[in-house]
Amino acid sequence: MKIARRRSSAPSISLVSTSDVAFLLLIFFLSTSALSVERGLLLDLPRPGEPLTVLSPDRLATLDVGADAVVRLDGVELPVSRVRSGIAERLQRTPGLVVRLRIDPGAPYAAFVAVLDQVKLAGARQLSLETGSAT
Amino acid sequence: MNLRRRVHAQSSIPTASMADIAMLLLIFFMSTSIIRSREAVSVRLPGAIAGEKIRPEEMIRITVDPAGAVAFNDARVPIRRVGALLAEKLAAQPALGISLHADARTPYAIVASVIEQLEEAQVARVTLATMRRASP
Repeated sequence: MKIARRRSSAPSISLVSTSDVAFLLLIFFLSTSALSVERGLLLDLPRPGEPLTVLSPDRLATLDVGADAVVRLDGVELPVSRVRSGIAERLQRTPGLVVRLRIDPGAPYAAFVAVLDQVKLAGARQLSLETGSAT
Repeated sequence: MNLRRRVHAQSSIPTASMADIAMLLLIFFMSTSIIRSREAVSVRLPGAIAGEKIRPEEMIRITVDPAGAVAFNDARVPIRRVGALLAEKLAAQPALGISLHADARTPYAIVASVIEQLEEAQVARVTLATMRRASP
C-alpha cells in the first residue's frame, strides 16, 4: 500500500490586512487630533516687597479702559487699533516711557487684552497695571 | 516579412510600500498627539497679534470663565484657593510656568483678583493665553 506523505505547511500569520488596519488607525488619529498651538502674552509680575518707583508725569502715558471697553490715551478717546501708533509716537519722544494701564473692574477681559496687545506691538517694555476707573 | 508584435509594458503604480508609509504616518501621529481631557471650565479666549507660543506641558493652567468659575489644571477650585494651590505646586516644581486662560467676556475684576493671588504666590511671570488674530 502506498501511503502519501502528509505535507506539513509552515505556520504563518497573514499580513495582508496589516496595511488596512494601519490606514484605519491613521484615519482615526487624523480625524480626532486637532493641531493645537497655544499662544499668549507674557506679563512680568512685580515681586512682593519690591520697592515702589515714583514716576514723573512726563515719563508716563495713561491708558484707560472703561467698563464699556472705550479706550482713552491721556484722556483722549481713540479706537483700539490706534493705541499702537499712539504709544509708538510717545515712545519716540520719551524712550523710557512707562505705560500706565488703568482698567475698569467691569471692563471685559478681551478689551484689556486688546489694549495690552497694542502696547506690546508698539514696543513698550514698562507697564503699570491698575484696577480702577478714570473718574 | 515576419513582423513581431510589439509588447506593451503595462503601466502600474507600485503600492508595495503603502503599508510602510501608513505605519510611519501612524507612528508620527501617535507620538505627536496629546490626548486632551475634557475641560472643567470651557472658555473662549480673546484674540491677540503679539502672542508667543506656549508649551502646555510645562505650564500650570488656570482657567477662568465669565461667571468667575476657576479651574486649576482642569479641576474646578474656588477662586480664593488659587494662590494656596499655586504655592504648593510651585514648591514641588519651581520651573513650572503659569498660563491664564480667561474667557474674553470675563469682567476684568475677576481676572485681576486671580493675578493678585499669583503675585502673592510669588509668581514672577504669567502668560495670558490668547487666540491668534490676524493683523488688522
